[in-house]
Amino acid sequence: MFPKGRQAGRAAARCAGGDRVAVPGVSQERQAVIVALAVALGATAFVALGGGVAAKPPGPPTDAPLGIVGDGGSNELARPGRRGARRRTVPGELLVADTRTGRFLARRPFSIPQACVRASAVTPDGFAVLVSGSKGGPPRLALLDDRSVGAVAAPGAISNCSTRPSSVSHDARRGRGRSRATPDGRARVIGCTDGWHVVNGEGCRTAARPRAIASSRQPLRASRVRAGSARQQSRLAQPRAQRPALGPPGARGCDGLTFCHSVSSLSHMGQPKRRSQFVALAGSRGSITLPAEVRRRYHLDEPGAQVEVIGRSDGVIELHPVLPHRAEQAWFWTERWQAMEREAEEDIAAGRTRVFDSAEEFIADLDREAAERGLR
Amino acid sequence: MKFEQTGRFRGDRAALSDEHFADFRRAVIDHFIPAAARHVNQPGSAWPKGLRVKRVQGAPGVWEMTWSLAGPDGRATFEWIEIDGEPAIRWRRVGDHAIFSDP
Repeated sequence: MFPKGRQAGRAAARCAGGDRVAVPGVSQERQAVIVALAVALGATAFVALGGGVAAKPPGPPTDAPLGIVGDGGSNELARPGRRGARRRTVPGELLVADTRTGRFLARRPFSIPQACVRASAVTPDGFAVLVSGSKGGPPRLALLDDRSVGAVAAPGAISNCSTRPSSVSHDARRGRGRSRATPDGRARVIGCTDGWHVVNGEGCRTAARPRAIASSRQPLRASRVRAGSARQQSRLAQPRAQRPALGPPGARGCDGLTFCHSVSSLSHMGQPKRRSQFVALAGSRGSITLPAEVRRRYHLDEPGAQVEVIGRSDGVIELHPVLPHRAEQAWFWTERWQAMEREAEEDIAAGRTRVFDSAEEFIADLDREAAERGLR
Repeated sequence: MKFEQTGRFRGDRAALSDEHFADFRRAVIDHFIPAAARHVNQPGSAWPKGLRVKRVQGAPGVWEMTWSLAGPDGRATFEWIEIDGEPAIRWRRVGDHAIFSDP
């Protein structure tokens, strides 16, 4: 489940080479100690997810890399190579410990709501830890590193993230998950076989466009592009200078967080323009191919996207993009608007409401406010 | 027809810019309230297309309306309730483009 042996050695070598070491909750001095131990022993430290106190001293030194252990309950998963290195955990905290000495180093609050960690791995660049899996709920993916662990600790912070756990664990087993910081350093991007995932303090979402991290350190390689993405494959086949730009107009130059998290995903809002295009029905099954622009605009190129088909009695066939929520209502499911709705519920529950006995009374209230603003 | 507003909705209204408040007021007075009254008398009657009134998928009971199409999107959410046995509308929240620009 964890990258072992050679990969751990690589991570240690990177650390020794001066790269940033992402051990959440551990000071730079402590990390330096861990790195020194890692280089000496071919191992680093591991991070225990869950919380509480180590139940028993770990076994002898292992070759486990930086990792996480524990699931907030079952303690059955994310073993860093040796049973003796397990920790008893309780939900809600992140433990950082040295696998060699078992010495407790730090504790950080952390939560994956109702989640049970089923797979975890260190990204090969050694910067982050991937966590996936859930218990009774939708699969989730979290990325823990020194920047995001504090933010992810906010309840529900990753509730928007959804990905296939199999693909993550698939990547995790092979150590193929890669993480990169966005240019502004406020978010991280994980590359998995099912797409790109962006994690920041607001949550996690899937970024369908690798262009979103184009300015990160490593160039994209065709072998890393999601299988079946013919558009991306053909694009990468062209010389870099001739490649068409991806993403919405104006996306270039904005920081990764904005591009990945907000602007691109909601860029279709406020654009009431309509474009008519004809598509042909293909084959006996009546398949149609939606134009790439439409797919991109309504995020139908994202995993799990569906189209709801409604045949109206007036002869019009409606296609509603579903993400799983309707793309046109994506604004409602943003963290900010959800918080607003929760506040509204609180007002209702607390009776902080005002009743207008008639429409005229409500209009009068609007008029009164308009007069206060000096509006006609 | 009765209306109800949450405390937060009142705060949202106050936070709107003058221009956005004018747009919201115009949309509500000129289009929404007449359509809502019509909806009460004739359930199933269509809402003005410009308001884009529809249920929020996945949020039972919550409806959305758009009060600004020209510039930044302006949205409001409401729900149908009963007050003294009469159908009424409870305004939940109203917001404008700011909700999209500050992730």
